[in-house]
Amino acid sequence: MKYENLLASRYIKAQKRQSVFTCVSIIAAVAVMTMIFVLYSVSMDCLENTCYSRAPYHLTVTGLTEQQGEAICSTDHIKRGKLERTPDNTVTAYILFGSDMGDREIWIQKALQNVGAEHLFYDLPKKYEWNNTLMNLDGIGDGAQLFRLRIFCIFFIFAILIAFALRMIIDTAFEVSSKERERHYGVLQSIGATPEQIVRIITYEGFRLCVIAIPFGLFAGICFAYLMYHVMVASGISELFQGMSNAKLALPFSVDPKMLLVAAVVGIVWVFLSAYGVGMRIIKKTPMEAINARANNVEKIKKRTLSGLLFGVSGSIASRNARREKKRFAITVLTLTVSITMFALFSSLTETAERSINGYIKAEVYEFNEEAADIDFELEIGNPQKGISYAEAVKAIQDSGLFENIAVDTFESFHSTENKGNIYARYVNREAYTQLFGRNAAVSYDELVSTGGYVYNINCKDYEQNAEQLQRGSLPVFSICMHLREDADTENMDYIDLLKYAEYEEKEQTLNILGSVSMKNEYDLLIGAIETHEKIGAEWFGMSFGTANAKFCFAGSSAEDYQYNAADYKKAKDWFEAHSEFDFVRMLNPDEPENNYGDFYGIKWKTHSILATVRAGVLMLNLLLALAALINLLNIISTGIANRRSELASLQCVGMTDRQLDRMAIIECLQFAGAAAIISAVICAVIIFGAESVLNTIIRDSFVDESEGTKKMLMNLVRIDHITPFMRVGFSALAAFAAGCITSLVMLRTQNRDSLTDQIRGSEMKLDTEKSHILRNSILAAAGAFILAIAGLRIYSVAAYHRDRNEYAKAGYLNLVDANGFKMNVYSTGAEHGKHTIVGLAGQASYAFPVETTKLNELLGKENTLVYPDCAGYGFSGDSLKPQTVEQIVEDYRAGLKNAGFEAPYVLMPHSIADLYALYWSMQYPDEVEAIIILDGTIPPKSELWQTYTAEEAFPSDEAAQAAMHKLVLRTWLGLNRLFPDKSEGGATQGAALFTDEQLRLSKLCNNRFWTAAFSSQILLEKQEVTHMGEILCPTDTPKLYFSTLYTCEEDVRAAIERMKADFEAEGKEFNSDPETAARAEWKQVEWEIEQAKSEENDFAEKIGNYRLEYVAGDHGIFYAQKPEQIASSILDFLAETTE
Amino acid sequence: MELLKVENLCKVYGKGENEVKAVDGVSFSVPKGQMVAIVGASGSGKSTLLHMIGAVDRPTSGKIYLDGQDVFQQNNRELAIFRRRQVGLIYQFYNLIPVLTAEENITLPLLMDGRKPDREHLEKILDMLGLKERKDHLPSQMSGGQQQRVSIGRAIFSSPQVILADEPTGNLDSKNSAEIMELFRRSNKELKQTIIIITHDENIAEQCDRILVLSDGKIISDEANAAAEEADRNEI
Ligand SMILES: Nc1ncnc2c1ncn2[C@@H]1O[C@H](COP(=O)(O)OP(=O)(O)OP(=O)(O)O)[C@@H](O)[C@H]1O
Ligand SMILES: [Mg+2]
Repeated sequence: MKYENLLASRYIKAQKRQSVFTCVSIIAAVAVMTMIFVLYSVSMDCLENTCYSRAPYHLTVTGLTEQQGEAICSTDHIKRGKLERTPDNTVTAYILFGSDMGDREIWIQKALQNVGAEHLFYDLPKKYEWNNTLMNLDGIGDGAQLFRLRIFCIFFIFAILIAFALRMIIDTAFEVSSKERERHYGVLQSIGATPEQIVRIITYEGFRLCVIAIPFGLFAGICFAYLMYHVMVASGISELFQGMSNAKLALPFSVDPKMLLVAAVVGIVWVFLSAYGVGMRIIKKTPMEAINARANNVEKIKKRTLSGLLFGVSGSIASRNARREKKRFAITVLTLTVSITMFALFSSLTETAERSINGYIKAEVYEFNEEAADIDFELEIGNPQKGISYAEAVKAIQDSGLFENIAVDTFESFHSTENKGNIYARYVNREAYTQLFGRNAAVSYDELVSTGGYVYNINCKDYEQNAEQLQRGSLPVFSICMHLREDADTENMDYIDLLKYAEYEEKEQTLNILGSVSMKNEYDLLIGAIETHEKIGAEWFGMSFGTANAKFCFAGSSAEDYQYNAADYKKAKDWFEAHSEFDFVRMLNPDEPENNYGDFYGIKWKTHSILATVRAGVLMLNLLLALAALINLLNIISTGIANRRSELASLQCVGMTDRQLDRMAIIECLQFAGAAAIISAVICAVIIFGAESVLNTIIRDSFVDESEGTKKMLMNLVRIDHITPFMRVGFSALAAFAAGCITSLVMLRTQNRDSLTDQIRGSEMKLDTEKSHILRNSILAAAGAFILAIAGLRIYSVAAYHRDRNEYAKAGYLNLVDANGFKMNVYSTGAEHGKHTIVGLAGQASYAFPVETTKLNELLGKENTLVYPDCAGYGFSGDSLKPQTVEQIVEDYRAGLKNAGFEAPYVLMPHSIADLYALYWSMQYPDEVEAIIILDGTIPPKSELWQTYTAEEAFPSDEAAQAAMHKLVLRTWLGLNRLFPDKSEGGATQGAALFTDEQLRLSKLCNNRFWTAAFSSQILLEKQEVTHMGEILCPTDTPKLYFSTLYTCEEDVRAAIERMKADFEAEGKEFNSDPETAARAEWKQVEWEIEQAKSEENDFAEKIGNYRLEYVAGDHGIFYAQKPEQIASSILDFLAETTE
Repeated sequence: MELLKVENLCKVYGKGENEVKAVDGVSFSVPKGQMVAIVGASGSGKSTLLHMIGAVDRPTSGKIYLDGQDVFQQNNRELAIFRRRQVGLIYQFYNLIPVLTAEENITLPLLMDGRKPDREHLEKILDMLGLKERKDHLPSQMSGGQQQRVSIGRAIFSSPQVILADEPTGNLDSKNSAEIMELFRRSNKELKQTIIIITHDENIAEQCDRILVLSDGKIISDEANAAAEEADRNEI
């Protein structure tokens, strides 16, 4: 192996430039592979997480009783079940499967049977629902594996295609660098190297390059992938998840080592294949052939060439050069062509796709009417049951000021007196009429209004039957009218009931026909003004059961120019939500507005976002390919010149001038660029015109029934921009040409620095006699840089933490004492040796608890001592790697307090989840706890089925949660959270208005270290600990005061919303809902939930024994800062009473 | 006892109009230990013939036997081993590996054979060729004559049975060429090596046992060299 090693390393060193090019090619290829594989796993993760966050279950079953719910959650295959009470006193089960359950319908039937709820299986509408997307992604249920396989196959085919393109890059690099050496391999063979040895030398060299190139390639690939992920997220994907609470966690960027391995292996295999190919080609020749076959054999010589004619001597030499390196020429032109074509076509095609989707939406709604304005929403408006007419609804829409162009239409059906057939009449308002027929309709809208007449649609299929009468100008019809009976209570009736309570009557009428119109695709025979409907509505129908349709768009902003506006959109959605309560408007699927077919704005936006993402991705890919093509081009051009070094020198010796030489080089580049440009242009033309004509044929053939206009419209939609792609081709060919010229000229200049004889004599290979260790040095440099970066970040993070801590200390909050293995910060305030030692225990993630309670402390501290120990990882207490169980935390608190010199008994004042610590404390050490004041505590549910925990909420599995926590902790550990603060959190900081600037600054200092190991342990153990506490809690004699922030009336809700509004405004953000309406809606929704919660709270209070319950109107997170007076006086009273 | 036998050897380059019969039906045999000179006008096919004997080029037709074995019956691998162990070829245009130093170039065949070069032997050969000072230089840092000497060193280093030299003294001064010829003659005598030398130098041809004259790819004369036999006898 020794001499192979020797040769390989010498060649790498001697041909530095080429080695670098080969390395860069491998790096580029591996980087692209890595990027693709990493992005695949990232997008699968993101997809799964988003599906999960949308609906974190595979199956929902409604209509269960409590026992049935609990029973069904313990059936086989179920990983996690959640139960929820509904207002109608049944229970809904949300189920996540852990393993495949086989045929799912059989499974659910059996499961329901077992819990005695078999009827649910047959009930209609269905009482259970499968979440297909998540099931597919998790590989659970029929065909799910197939789904995953399908996705993987699609990806795989794509990856293979790309991989082959990359193979070409590596191949070229090897081809180019080995050409010159073919002679040396011939010599080696002639002195007795066996074919295997030759192949081994070449592959060995390849592997040496791999060792350098692949790690860099992987690294570069990850960077690219991250960049692309970032671009994609920024380009619109994240907008799709507007309002999703954990958008950041749901779209994680994680690198799967398996994927890196695959990319590396593919890279190595490609290098091996390329090297092997070169080796095989060489050993097919006899040594003498190899020795004589220099890189450049001209087989036949054409006396006259085009470029010779055009450019004289320089031209004919240049064209001969191209001929003798046919393969090289072909490869260069090919790579250039591929990247130029992709660049030219992709962006045009995505634009076309977006245009046609937008056009499709338009066409669906406006029947291909060119003059129709773009619409953003379509809604059903009015509610006859509640006596709200569509006119009122339209007025409400108008009054909101958010929308314009409100086109309204409603339908009525008559029967023909002649043939008893149905006649549909459509009543439209002015906007809709203009949108349908333009401004120059044969009959003006005003005429329709003033006469109460109609126009008929000659394209309607019913037209023939009634043609004769319609021509005559009047159409006798009869209609079935309904009158509601007096005793009907419309408030609580659905449509069917109303029909039952109506009385029917046939009435004959004569409709006044004014003229004709031509409408495509419409079944309405008659069009009338909406005023007519209003007028005759009451007269004929007694009461109208029909609602109207409204189509309208945003006022002032149009989605036409793709400027989507999140604020407007949110306003609109809030408005719809608020008004659907009163049934002004009805979205078809209010739970998922983005899937609502009436929400065209949402659809268009979503399409736009996805396409923008695709475009960004394609652009990145394009960039990489262009880079690869450029590397190839430069490699080939510079190698071409270097190899012909002595030859060019000979030319100069016989009198060629520098200028002629330059010209020759430039003509060579022109050949490359020109050939590539021409081929790309041809390919573009074929694709563009081919695709267009195929689409046109499809349209022509499959829409035979449509009118010419419609077809033209459709063709217009799929039209592809003809000019831009070709301009792009020209532009990129020009760029390639320029790059090539610059390289050639630079190469020629540098070569000409040596004397001509030197150039003639020496081959390109120059070897420094001193030994260098490129491989070792570059690896050391990379490793060193990595370690330095890590160390630098860590130092930064520690320094920043200490600076924060000093600031905190200056404010007088720092008092570090030993706890179990870490330094605990025990802040105390109030009276020195007060009546009571009140110990405040922070709730989950409440890092700045002692700062936030300042007002309360002032009120309580007059006679009492207040102590705030921060548990591990909170505030400025040290971090701890111990599992943060309730027991551990309580022991830490006790140790900290003791070491800080505060002796029991204590009055514990826990917030939120800390109530469990306090209760545990009083159960274990009753003597140490004088009383407990619970600030809106956490109530352990009766079983884990009845609650969702922080980690479960956001992550499909415990492993995913753990991985995410590790990442967050690492992020904090390296200080990345400080350097790149997360801006995705959209909401306002709660209660910002309540605190002074100084307090806000201090609480920011505390939160700077947000995500510590101890905190993440708390989150991960939350479920286990809460469930466990729920099991062991028992009544104690310790007196307890329980503050609850549950709403007690609608006024509380309104106040909460007002507070939220104040928070938003304090930060200069806009708050779009009207508190009044929002509160009414909210209260309606939560009223029964609150009843439920109250009874749970009472149960809990009962369970812990000796309690007093008090309601405080405030927000759970900071109510102690919102209502300090009320809380303080209650506490003081309570302490006075209970500890006499 | 004949070591090398060439039978009706032909080599044709090109096709049709461009066809060149570089070697045209050459037959001869060389007994072990003979020193043969091949002379002839430029372009008469000497180098082509030598390359085929050295198994670095395939004949168009005809056969070559070494030690009774048909050389081109062997497969590529065996051919490579044959080249490595049986013959030492000195090229007209040196054909050194440009990235290896003189010493590395000389020892390369042995390294490829998986053997360790004997340092003493190497020193001796470098000394003989006058390359002691140049042993760590690359080919591009050496003069034409020095490069030629390196290629001679590479051919004789492993003491093969047959040495094929294509104008080995073409770039050397008379003193140096005399030394090289002396070297050849010594190893011819001591190791019973068979040596075939192509030369334009009559002096050198005179020192060989036998002189083959080539013209247009054919042997036109093949005679024993009386003067050389005389000289040998005198030496004894
Ligand atoms: N690879 C080749 N392709 C075509 N013709 C060749 C090739 N190699 C040699 N020839 C031709 O074969 C003939 C013999 O060439 P060769 O090199 O054997 O001559 P030579 O006797 O060694 O001449 P010199 O004394 O000049 O070295 C020449 O006419 C040459 O043109
Ligand atoms: Mg010759």
